[in-house]
Amino acid sequence: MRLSSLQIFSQGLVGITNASAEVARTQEQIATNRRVVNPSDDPIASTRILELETELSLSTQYQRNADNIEGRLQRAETQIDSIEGAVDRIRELVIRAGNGGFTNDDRVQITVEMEQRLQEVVDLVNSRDETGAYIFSGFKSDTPAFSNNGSQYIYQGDEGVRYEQIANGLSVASNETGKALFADIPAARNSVVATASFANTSDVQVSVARVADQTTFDTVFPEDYVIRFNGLGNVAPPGPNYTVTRSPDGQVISADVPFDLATPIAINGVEITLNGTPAPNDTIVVESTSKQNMLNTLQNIVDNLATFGDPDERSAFIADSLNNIDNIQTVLSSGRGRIGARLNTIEATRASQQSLDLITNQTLSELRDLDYAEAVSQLSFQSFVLEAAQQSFVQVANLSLFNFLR
Amino acid sequence: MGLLNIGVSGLLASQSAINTTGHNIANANVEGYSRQEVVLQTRAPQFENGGFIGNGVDVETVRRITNEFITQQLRIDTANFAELDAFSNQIAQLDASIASANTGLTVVLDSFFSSLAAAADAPTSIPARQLVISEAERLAQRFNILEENISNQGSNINAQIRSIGTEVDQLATSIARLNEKIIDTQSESVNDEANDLYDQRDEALRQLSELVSYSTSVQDGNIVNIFIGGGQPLVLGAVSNSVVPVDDPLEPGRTELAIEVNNTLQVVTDSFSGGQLGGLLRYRDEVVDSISGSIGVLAVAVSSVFNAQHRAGVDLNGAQGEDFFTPINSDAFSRARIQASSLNALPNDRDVGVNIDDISQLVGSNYRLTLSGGGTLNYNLTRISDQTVVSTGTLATTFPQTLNTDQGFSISLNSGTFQDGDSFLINPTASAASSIAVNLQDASGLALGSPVIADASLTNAGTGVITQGGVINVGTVDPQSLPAFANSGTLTPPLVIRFTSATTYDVLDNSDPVNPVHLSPPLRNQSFAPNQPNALLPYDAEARYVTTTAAHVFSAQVGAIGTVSNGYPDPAPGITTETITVNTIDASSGVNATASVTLLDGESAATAAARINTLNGVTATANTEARLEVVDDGDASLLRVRLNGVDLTDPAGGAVPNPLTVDALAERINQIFAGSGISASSNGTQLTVRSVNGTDLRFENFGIDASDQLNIVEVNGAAAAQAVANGQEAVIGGTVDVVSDGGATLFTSGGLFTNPTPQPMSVYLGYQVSLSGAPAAGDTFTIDFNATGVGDNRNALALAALQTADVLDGGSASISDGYAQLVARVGAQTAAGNLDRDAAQSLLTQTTERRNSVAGVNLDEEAARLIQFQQAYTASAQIISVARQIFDTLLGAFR
Repeated sequence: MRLSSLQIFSQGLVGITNASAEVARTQEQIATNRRVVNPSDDPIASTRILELETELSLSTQYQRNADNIEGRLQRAETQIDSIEGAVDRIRELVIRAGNGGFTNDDRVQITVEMEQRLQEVVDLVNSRDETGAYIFSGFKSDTPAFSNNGSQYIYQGDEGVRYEQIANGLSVASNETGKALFADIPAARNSVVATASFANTSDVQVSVARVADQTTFDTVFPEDYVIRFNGLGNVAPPGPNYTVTRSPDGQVISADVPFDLATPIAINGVEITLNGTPAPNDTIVVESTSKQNMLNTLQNIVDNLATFGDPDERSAFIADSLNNIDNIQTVLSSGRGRIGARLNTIEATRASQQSLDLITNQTLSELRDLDYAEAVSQLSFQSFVLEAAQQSFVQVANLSLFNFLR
Repeated sequence: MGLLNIGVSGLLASQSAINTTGHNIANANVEGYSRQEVVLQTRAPQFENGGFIGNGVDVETVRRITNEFITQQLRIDTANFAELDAFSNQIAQLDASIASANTGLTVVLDSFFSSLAAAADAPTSIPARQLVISEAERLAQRFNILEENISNQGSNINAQIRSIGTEVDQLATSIARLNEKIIDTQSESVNDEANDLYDQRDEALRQLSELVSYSTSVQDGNIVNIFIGGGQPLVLGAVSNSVVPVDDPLEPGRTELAIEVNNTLQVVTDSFSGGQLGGLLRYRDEVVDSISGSIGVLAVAVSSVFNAQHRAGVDLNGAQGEDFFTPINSDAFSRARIQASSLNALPNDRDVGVNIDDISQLVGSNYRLTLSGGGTLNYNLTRISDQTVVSTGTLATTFPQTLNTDQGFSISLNSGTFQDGDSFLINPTASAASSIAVNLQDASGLALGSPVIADASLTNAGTGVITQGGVINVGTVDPQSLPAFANSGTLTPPLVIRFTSATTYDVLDNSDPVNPVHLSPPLRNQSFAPNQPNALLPYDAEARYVTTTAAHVFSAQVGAIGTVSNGYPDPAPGITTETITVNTIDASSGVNATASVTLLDGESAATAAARINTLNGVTATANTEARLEVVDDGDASLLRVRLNGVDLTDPAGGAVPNPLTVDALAERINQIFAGSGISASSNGTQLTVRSVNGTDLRFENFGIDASDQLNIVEVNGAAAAQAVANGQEAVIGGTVDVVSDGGATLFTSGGLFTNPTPQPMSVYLGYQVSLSGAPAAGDTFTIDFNATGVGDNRNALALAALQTADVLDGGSASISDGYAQLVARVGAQTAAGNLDRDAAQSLLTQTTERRNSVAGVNLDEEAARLIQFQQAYTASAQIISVARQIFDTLLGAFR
C-alpha cells in the first residue's frame, strides 16, 4: 500500500499520544488509589460505591449513637445504683428504728441520717448530664425531675423515652423516666393525689392530701373526686363553700359545705388541706391511687418514724414502710435490669455492626480500589510501549530519500 | 527542426513535471492538499519518408490524484466523529464532577443526615442544632452548584451554537466563492481543472462537516450545492444563505439556528445532526434538560419531604416547625415553573402557575401545554422527553381552574385571556436545584420534638403502658392543616383515653379535665386487644364516620310489658328492613366491590353492628346509653324494676331502700351485669345505664303503685321526657357508629341511617399513640401538646429516617438512591459516548489514512521523481545539444 509522508508521521504520533494517554490514566489511578475515578469508568460499580459509602456513613453514625447511648445508660445506671445504696441504708435504719429498746429520741437520731440519705436521693433523681439536661425528666430535660411544692415531691417530667438508632431497624431507648423509676411504684396502702386544676382563677393550691381513715377509704377505692367551689350565696351566711362529686359519674358526695382554710376537706376518709383563697368555680381533682412516689414515701418515713407513742402503731408504720421500700427496691432493680439489657444489646449490635462494616469495606475496596500490583506492572508495560513508540518514530522519521540527495 | 522541437518539448515537459513535484513537496504538509502529477502525451507523429516520425511530447494536463468516494466518506466520518467527540467532551465534565466528593451530592447528603442523628442524641444542644442548619446549607449549596454547573454548560452550549453558526456561515460563503472561482477558471480553460481550488473547496467542505452534517449535489460536473437540516439550501452555486442564531420563542434562553432563505428565517435546529453542532444539540436535548430535571426532582424531594416532616415537629420553644427549606410551592416558584410562549396571541395577561403535588410521580422531564379549539378550549399536555401526550381534556370557561395530572404536578390557570394556539413550557423541576435554600435560620427553631405527648395516669390500676406516638401520614397531609394542630402550642382538643372495660375504650375531649366530653364525631367503644400493642386512634386519613341518626334512635319505645320492641330499623311506615350496602374500591387494583346486609325487624344495635362488621372496608361499633330518674312515693306498694329481664329490686339480692334510689339501682346493675358490657352510674338523682355492646336496654316497671314510675330523661345523648308507668316497659335501642376506610362508601335504603348516603365526617386526628399491656376499666391516658419537651427527639429521628425513606419513583427509591441512579446514568452515557467516539475516531482515522494513501504526498516518491524528471530534463537538454551539433555540423559543411 502506498503511504504518504503525512501518514508516516501522523501514525507515529497517534501511537505516542495513545500510549502516553494510557500511561497518564494508569498514573492517575495509582495516585488516587482508585480503580473507578469517574462514574464512566464503571457505571454500575459507581452506583454501588455510592450506596456502600452511604451505608458506611450510616454505620459510623450508628456506632456514634451506640457510644452516646452507652454513656447515657451507664450514667443512669450509676445514679440508680447510688439511689439503691441510699434506699438500702434507709431500709436498714427503718429496721433499726423498730428496735423496741429505742426511745423516740434515739429514733430522731436515726432520722437525722435518713434525712441526709434522702437529700442524697433527691439530688440523684435530679442529676444532670454533661450538657446540663436532667436525665430522669423524660423529654422535659430542662426541668428537674422532682420538686417539692412545700408538702410533697411532685414528678415534673413526662413519660418521654428517647430512642436512637444503633443499627438498621434497631432503636434503643437512651433514658429511663423518673416516673417509671421513682413515681410509679406499687404502694403498701391506697392513697390519694390531689391537684388544683390548671383552669383555676385563684392561687389555691393543695398543701396536704392524705388518707386519714384508711379503712373507710379502702372501701370506696378507687373512687376519684372533684371538689368544686360554689358561689358565696349557696350557704347562709354567704361564704366560701364547696361541693364534692364523684368522677366521672357526677354523684354528689357532699353539697354546699362551708369552707375555711383551717378545716381540712374530708371525703370518705381522705383529708385535704388547701393553701390560698379559692374562687368560685375553682376545682381540685382528687385521684385515688395504689401507687407511691419514692421521695414522698421516704420523706413520710423521715417525718413520722420518731413520732409514734403507741408501739403497735409504730410497728404497723414500720411494716408498711418496709413493704413500700421493698417495692421501691423492686422497681429500681427492674429499671437497672432494663438498662443492663439495653447495654447488652448495644454491645452485641456493635460487634455485629463492626463485622458488617468489615464486609462493606471489603466490597467497597474491591469495587473502587486499585489492584496495585496489577496497576504497577501495567504502568511499566505501558511506559515500555510509549518508549518503543517514541524510538520507532524517531527511526522512521529519519528515513528519507532526501538524506541521500547530495 | 524536428529534433530541436522534440528536445524542447521534452525539456518543457520535464520542467512542468519537476515544478509539479516541487509543488507537491512544498504542499506536503498542507491540510487537504491532493498530490498532483503531470499527464504527458506523445505528440501526434508526422508521416514522413515512408513512416511516422515522432514529434515529441506534450503536457496534457496536471492531474489531481484523489478519490471522490473517499472524500465523501471522509466528510461523513468527520461529521460523525465531530458529533460524538463534542458530546463526549461535554459529558466528561459532568462525569468528572457528579460523583466526586468535592462536587457530588452523596457526601453532603450523608453528613447532613449524620448531623441530624447527632442532634437526635442531644436535642437541647444548640451547637448540634446549628450544625444541622449549616449542613443543610451545605447541601443546598451543593445542589445550587450542581445545577449551576449544568446550566453553565447549557449557556456555554448556547455560545458554542452561536459561534458554530457564524463558522458555518463563513464556510458557506467561502464555498460559494470557490464555486464561483471554479466556474470562472473552468470557463477559461476547458480542459484543465483548477486543482488547487478543488482542494481548497474540499477542505472547506471537510471543515464544514466538522461542524454539521449536510448533503451535497454536484451540478454541471464541478459546482457543489450544499443542503443542511431538513433540505434547506445552504449553498447554491455561487450563492450562500446565511445562518442566524435566534432565541427559541417557546423556551427563552435557548439558542437555536435559523437559515435565511429568501429573506425568511426558518428555524432548523431540530433537523440538524452530525458535526459539533449535532453533538452539542444532542447533549442539550438528551443530557442537560434531563439531568437538570432529575437533580431538580431530588432538590424538590429533599425540600418537600423535609419540610413536611419538619412541620410535623415542635421546636425548642414549643412552637410547631416552620418550613425547613424554602417551600416548593411558593408563589414565585410556582410561577417560575411555567413559561408562556412568546408566540402566544396578545393580550399577554395569562396568569399561570405549576404546583408540585406528589414528588413520587415526578420524572424530571419538561412538558408542553397547548390549547386549541374555538369557544371551549381543549388542552394537551405533552411530556417532552418522550413526546408522549400525558393528559388531555377540556378547559372550563371560568378561571381560576386547576388541571391535575398524574405526573406529580398540577397546573393552575388563574386568570387571563387563554386562546386557541397558546403554548406553555412547563419545567416542574428543571432549575429547582438552583433555588433550593434553607429557610430556617434560628437553631432553636429546629423542630426535633413531636407535638403530642401521652401520659398514663398515676392512678391507673391496670398495666397499660402508653408509647409516645407522633404525627402520622406526614407528606400526604400537611400536619399544620389538621384541626388538631390548628393552634400552635396547643392540641385541639387535648384527649383523654378512658377505658370502659378491659377491652373497650372511649376517646374523649379533655379540654376540661374535670369533665371530659365526647369528640365530634365520637370515638367510643373502640376495641382493645390486651397484652399487645394497639394503635388507639384512627390511622386512615381517608376514614369517614357515619352514625345512626333516625329520630327513634333518640327516644325509648314505651308500652305495656311484653309488647314492646326497640322499633328498629323502621325506615318508613309499613317497611321494617334497612339494606346497608358498602362499596369498596381497591386503590391498587381498582377492583370495585359491593356487599350488603339487611337489618331485620327489631334487630338490636349490637347484632346490627356485628353484621355490618362482616362487610369489607367498614368497622362498626354500637353503644346504648340511657339516663333515668326514679319517682317513688316510698309507700308500702313498692316500685319494682327489671332490666333486661333481671329483677333489680329483688330483696334476695340485698336490702332495697324504700323509696327506691338511683344509687341502689346503679349498684345493683353493676353487680348483676358485671362483665356483660352493661354498667350503670348514678349522680344521686339520675341513673345512667350504658351498654358498650349496643344491646337493647329493656326497663320494666312491674310494681303495682300507679304513682311510682321511671322517667327517661336522656336516650343516647339526646334529651327525652318519657314516663314508664307501672305495668309498662321501655325499650331503648343503641346507636351504630360506622367508620369506613378510604375508598369505602356506605349506602343505605334508609332506616337507622339517613337515606341514601349518610353524610360522612372525618375521624382522622393526624397523630397516633400506641398502648400495650392490660389496662383496667377506668384507667385513663391523656394526650396533650408537647410544649415543654425540649429533650424530645422523635421528630429528629423521623427526619433522620428520611435518608432511607423511599419517596421517589412511586415510592421505590430514596433520595440517595435517586442520586446514585443519576450518577449511574451519567456514567453509562459517558462510557457509551466514549466508546462511540473511539469507534468513530478509528473509522475516521482509517478513512483519513485511505485518503492520505491516495492523495497524500510521499516525499520519498517525490524525491525519486525529482531525480527521474531531472534526468529526463538533462536528457532533453542533451537532445537540444545534439540538435545544435547536427545543425553546427551542417553549417560546417558549407564553410
